[in-house]
Amino acid sequence: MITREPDQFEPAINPLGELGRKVLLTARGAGRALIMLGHATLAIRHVFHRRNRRATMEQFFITGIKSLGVITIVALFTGMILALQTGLELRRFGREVNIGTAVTVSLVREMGPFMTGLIIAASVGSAMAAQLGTMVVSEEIAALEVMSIDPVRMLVMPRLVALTIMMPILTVYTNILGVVGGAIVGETQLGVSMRAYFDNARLYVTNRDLYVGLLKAIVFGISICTVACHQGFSTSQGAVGVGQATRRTVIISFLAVLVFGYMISRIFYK
Amino acid sequence: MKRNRIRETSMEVTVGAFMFMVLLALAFFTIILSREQLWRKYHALEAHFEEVLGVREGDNVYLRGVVIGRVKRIETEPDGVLLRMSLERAPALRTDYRIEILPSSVLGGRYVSIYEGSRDAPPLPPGTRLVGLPPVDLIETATHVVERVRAALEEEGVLANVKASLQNLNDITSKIARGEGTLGRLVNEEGVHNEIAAAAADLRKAAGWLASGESSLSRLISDNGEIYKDAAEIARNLREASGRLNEAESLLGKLLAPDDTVYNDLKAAAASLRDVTDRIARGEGALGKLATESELYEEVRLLINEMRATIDDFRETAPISTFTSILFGAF
Repeated sequence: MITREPDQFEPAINPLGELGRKVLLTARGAGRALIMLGHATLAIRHVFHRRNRRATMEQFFITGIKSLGVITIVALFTGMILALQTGLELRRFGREVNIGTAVTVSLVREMGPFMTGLIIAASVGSAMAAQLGTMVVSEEIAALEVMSIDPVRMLVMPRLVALTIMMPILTVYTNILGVVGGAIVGETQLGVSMRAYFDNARLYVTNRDLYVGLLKAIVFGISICTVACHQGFSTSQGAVGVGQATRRTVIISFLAVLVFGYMISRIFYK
Repeated sequence: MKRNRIRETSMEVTVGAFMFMVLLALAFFTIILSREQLWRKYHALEAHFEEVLGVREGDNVYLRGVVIGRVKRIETEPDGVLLRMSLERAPALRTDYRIEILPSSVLGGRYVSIYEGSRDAPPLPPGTRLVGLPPVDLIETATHVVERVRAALEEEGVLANVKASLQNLNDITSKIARGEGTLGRLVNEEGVHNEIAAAAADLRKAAGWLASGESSLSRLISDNGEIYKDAAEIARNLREASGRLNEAESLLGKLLAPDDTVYNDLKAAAASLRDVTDRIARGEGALGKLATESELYEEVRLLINEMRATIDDFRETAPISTFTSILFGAF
């Protein structure tokens, strides 16, 4: 399997060489990750196979239902913080009623997908990397290959499908809870009635904002799954390697969420 | 095996229910955000503008301050911009209608405002090409105002006047600082200050006398309002008198009245009297002759004396003649 081939780059003899080696390793890692993603995408046609369907459903459950608790709390408080901070500033101009617009636009366009991406990267992504890394270091992946079972189809494809579908679903859930959290703060602390808040909220938010946010969530889901599975498959050096793979997964996923978030915003909001 | 199957089923139901609920919410919010009511009929309205100054699709359309729709599409044309609006109800436009693009706030945002026209104006014929008014650009207006202010300051000499005034003020304060002029001496010389302090002390003393009520002036001031009452009484009398004059109740009032009838009558009477006296003085007429000719006067006097004697005689003989006439009258 290509993702487990040994490192072919010799250790560098000077800092410049080390830098070049790291660049090459990074490029090779990105290439391997993309090849694995392509492989998993091609394997999606087998998603309704009995074994794959069960694995996919399990990933749906882990990604979606098991993350609901933390997502609920984070989304609710994100909306409340946004409403409070924006509302206090807008109160200086007597326009605290506009928190509806501010909170909803922020959440739907950016904060919803972003917060969901971070939570999923930190909880689900890291777990994926740890699980696959442990399987690698305990040579379970090698055993699968010996049995002519494609590890990408069996392990990566269900995760890719689950994250790609669940991320926008969770993002909608985050958006709803965030907007509700903002409404609670508006009603209780800023004197903005629920009616005025929701009337104002839908004034400037469009379907385009909603669906661009969902597109971001899909891209984030694919990125997190790709990074986590690639880092998991690239694990070496036993338990220490598993820890490093998990750490790298969280860091790279966060960066991917930020970079892809900006790029999609740049494309759709010129 | 059976337990695993139950667990799998439970997992599938949970995931499916969650996804179904969220997708339902997504559909709901999609409809809400589209601001379209599915079973409601919308009226299309098109208006042509020279420019729309940043109006976007989805911006609100107001009629009499109420949101009745939104901008559906914006299309550029060779001679301007065509705004297609989707309205909840068709406005009853009249010939003096107005469709304008106004700023939502100073911070930005725009909306379309429709004024249907005055009630007495005739309705707009169907198929009329609606033309919107040019939009108001707050930034441009503010820039224009700033330019005008700057022009007034720099070109029309306001700034020069202000500078000159400040220079004058500077000169004045310099003179005061140097002790020149009355104010300068007042500020800088201690003697002047002492004199003013003494004058102030005298004034304070005089005010004390006035307040004590011992002098005539203070009694005048502190008489518990008697003088004021008297003055008020005089004023009331004057007002009454002037009122009577105004109401033309008295001769003076009649004379002061805008109507000159009384004055003219008096003037005519005086003229007639002067004429009569003139004629008397000239000896014209019976009275004139009587006044100027002494012979006539004497004759009149003698005539009166004779008449008086005749009357006396008649009075003395009246009883005898009466008795005689009664006596002879019986026979």
